[in-house]
Amino acid sequence: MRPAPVCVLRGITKSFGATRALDSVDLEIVPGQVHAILGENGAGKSTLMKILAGAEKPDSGHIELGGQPAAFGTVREANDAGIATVFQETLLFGSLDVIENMAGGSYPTSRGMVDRRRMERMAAPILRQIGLDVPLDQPVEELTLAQRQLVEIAKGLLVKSRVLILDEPNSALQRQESERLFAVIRRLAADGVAVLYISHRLEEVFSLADTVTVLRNGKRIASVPVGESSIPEAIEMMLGSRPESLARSLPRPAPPGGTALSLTGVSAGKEVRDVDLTARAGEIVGLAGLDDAGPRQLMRLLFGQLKARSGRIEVLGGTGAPRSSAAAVRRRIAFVPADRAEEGLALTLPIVDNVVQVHVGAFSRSPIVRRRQLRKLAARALADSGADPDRMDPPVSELSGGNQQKVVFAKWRAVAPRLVLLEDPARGVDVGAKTEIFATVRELARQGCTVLFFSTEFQEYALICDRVVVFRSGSVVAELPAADATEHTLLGLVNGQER
Amino acid sequence: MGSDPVIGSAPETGDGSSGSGPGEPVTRLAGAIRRPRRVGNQIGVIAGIVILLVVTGGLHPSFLSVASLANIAQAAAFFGIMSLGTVFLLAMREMDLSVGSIYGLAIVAAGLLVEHHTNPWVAAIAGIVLAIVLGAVNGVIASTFQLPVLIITLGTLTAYMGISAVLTGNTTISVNATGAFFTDLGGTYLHVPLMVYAFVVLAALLSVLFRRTRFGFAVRSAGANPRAAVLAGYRINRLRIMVTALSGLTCGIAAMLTFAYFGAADPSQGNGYEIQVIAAAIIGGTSLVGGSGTVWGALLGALLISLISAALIQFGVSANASYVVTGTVIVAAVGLDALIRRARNRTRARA
Repeated sequence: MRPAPVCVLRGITKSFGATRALDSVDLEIVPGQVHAILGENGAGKSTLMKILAGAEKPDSGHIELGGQPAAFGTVREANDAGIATVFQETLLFGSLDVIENMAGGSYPTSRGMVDRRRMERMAAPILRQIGLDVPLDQPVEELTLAQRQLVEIAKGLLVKSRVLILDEPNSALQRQESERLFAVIRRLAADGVAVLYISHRLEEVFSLADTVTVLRNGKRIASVPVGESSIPEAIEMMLGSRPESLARSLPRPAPPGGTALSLTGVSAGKEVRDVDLTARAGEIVGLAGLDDAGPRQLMRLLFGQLKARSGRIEVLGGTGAPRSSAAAVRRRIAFVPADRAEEGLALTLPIVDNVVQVHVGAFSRSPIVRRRQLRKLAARALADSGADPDRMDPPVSELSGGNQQKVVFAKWRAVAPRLVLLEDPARGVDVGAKTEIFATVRELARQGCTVLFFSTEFQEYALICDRVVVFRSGSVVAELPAADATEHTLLGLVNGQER
Repeated sequence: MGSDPVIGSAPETGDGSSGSGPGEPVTRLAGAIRRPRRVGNQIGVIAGIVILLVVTGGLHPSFLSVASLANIAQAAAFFGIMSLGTVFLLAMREMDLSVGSIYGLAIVAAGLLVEHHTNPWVAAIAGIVLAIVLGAVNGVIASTFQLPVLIITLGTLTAYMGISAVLTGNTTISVNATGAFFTDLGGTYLHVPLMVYAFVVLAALLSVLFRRTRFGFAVRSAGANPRAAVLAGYRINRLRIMVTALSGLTCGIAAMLTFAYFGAADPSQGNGYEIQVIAAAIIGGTSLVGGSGTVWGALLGALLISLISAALIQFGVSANASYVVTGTVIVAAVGLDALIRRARNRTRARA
């Protein structure tokens, strides 16, 4: 009753050094279906997709495409065979514009010259479909993270594909943009394309996919039709015996203290307009909003990266926003940026160097780097952040996304911050790591630290915050206690519906 | 290489099948906080030095005489001292092309002062201060316009050289090279010129500065990811100026030792040095991608370059042809660096 698979993977095995990323994985991909791949970070999802996409070669195993054995040396070869991929990391050329990035290596030509008009004609309907409304000649480095992700998706959709691989295509997208993407995906599937979809957002997966495959530690645990499984069951399979505890269960005994942050009529840049906001010591305040609605910019402002145009700011007993990030750090303000690789970590440096970075730069008095002392400090900070304190010498790049984020937290925990600005702290992180990261945030608050929390995943606000302040077009439009901050309510508010 | 204990491996990465045992992948970078690995990236340079010494020495035993080796070491010191400062720049993803011109201008300034009856010690200090300022100027301009130091020094390379030419009318200034400054600083001890001792001592000091101080740590942090360093509270502009000033300082020291040794100020001295200076650092194992470096490696790299020239002369190859070999070695070193980095990336488990 199932149609014949368009693509079959048999016994795919791949190791990186001593780590076996994939262990004899089988997979059958059926045309006209959305096939979701689930697994924690490090389970092997991305590696499997990269192999199918031609970006990595398997150590053993084989791939059949349309009944023929296939082996792709490059992404280009896979493209030509009808396999298009939207990679997790955006691989765009910052200084090139939207059209040039979409064209990539296969720019249409006429008489040996690139044919820009034709390219624009090809790109326009795709961009319209996914709802990306930016000038075609805008360099992608000037776009927001979400817009860049949409360009990446558009690039993948440009390829006439039999198999479309989407590796966390909406990690930076807001709900509305995601919905539009899902509509596109459903339409493609209806047209007979086989879609492989990787995501951490289980609810989405279960509403979108026809089949779900779960990987754990490089092994395939199961492939089941969504109708025969459930979210709790999938979590069970992803985590193995580890219990899922993303509930709001951790104790928060210490009540919030005195006012730590007070903004009155603050405006900055184009995005922050006349904002009033207060937060007390030990409070976790959610700042909800769409991408450019203000919360992100407000955090940059409090971290000395954006100047206020007007308004009164009091932070941690000081008047005015810090003038630079260096000044912010010295006032014990911490900032966890959404883009870990670009802004959060020095990936090539050892874990320990990253953990002690803020301490050494801003707080250590000794001109000499005291190795033993710093290692002790790092071990404590790593343990406090739910990371392995005995693993501090490899470069951070060797860690999975979740563990990298724990290193970012450890870096700030090492200097006992008093105000923590979190910009999508659980982005691209698996359920287990998310639980640990949230526990770290609560612990910080329990110790009297003020936390401002922004997320693109609206269900996170109710899990972690004491109250949520909702932004729309740069202004505060609502404030609600955590209990009322359901995904549904927040979505309505940020999109302009009144309660 | 004693690998650090990795207790219980790392459950979260999901590499349960084969954790990180004693045979951990060799993907570790030397950082300040982890136990340092002295050798490592320098094995290639050391091997090159040993092979050159054995082969050339075997065929021409006089090559291994103290006088000959001292000569080679001194030739290395002339530009190698500046390579030590360049390591800091490279570690910060920067590059100073004006080192040779700063060196030359510092010599000219000191020469003119001595010519006008300034005490040579005072003149030397003035020369060093001038070199620091010239270096810092590069950093200030680069920070003001938020441009790479490399771009700025494309200009200052020529400008500083021009100042030397203007000041001297392009003729060598001969000074009355008597007195302790010239005999002591320019002197030879145990058959080895003082400059060589200075080279080794400076390498030791700067190596400690690079690996064991907050300053060195900040430089490497900023080089590994400038944006992340800014967001971690580092004042990266100030840091860049300090590093270019430090590079200037090494130029100044090299310049004054040269001045003391020759007892004359040739305005063309130092022209074209930038290639050897940067090459020595790269051959020594300092990567061009920033975030790491090795000061001792730069010393070894300078020695290797100097040895190559000397060996080729020994074999009757013209000095001009030695550029070909040196150039080839630079390309090989950079290529090797890239290969090693790629191999490292490949061992990374990212799923």
